[in-house]
Amino acid sequence: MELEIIEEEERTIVNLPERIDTVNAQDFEQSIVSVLEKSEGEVVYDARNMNYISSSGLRVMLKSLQTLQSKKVRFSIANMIPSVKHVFDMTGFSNIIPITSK
Amino acid sequence: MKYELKIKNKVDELSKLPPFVNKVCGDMNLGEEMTMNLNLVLEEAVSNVVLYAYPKGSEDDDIDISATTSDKSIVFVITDRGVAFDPLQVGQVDTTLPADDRQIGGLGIFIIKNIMNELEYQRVEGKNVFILKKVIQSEKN
Repeated sequence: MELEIIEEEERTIVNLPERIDTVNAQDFEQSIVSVLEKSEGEVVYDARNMNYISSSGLRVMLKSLQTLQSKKVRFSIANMIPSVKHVFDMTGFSNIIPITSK
Repeated sequence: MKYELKIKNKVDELSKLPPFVNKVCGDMNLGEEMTMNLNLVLEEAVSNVVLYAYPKGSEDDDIDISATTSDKSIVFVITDRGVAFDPLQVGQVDTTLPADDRQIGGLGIFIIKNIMNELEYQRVEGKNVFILKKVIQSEKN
């Protein structure tokens, strides 16, 4: 999967795809392996283009959080539309992942 | 109205679900959030079948999905011929746990239970039948 990844000083921004579901979650996970390995400081997933996420996508979000937390890298997800935010609220994920409007 | 969809038992086939669900929801004039919620429910329920009811990877087996709509509800029925798998018996997830203690499994059924109003599982003549009902409060819901 081609993802736009913006490397700033001390911060990496990953533009999330329109949807992360059971079909493409593994592909997405592969595409962010290097981000999770190399990043320092802060990682932001920008969800402005995302209009759908299922539990397969949430699992990748959880793994991202766990990997980055263990490296003391800050992690947040920015710019969610309300229906996507609703999925994070319903599953309690918005209690563990900081959600911002950037 | 009754709608039907038959897919093969493999992950790629899940991409046939959104057009099906969007057609049903569109005909009922359901809003964006309800449409997304029902897409989510169908994906979670059918991916459970693909991942758990057919463990031998028999990709040619069919999964039948139907939607029956009325003014007040939508009833989805998912039928497969895999090993007995009761999705309602999957362990509950605790969504209040901190990140390190979160479990990966069980999230799909948690989402389904959250969105739908009535769920029923039957094992009938070697088939798994999972019935999911959503009550529709108003046209704009």
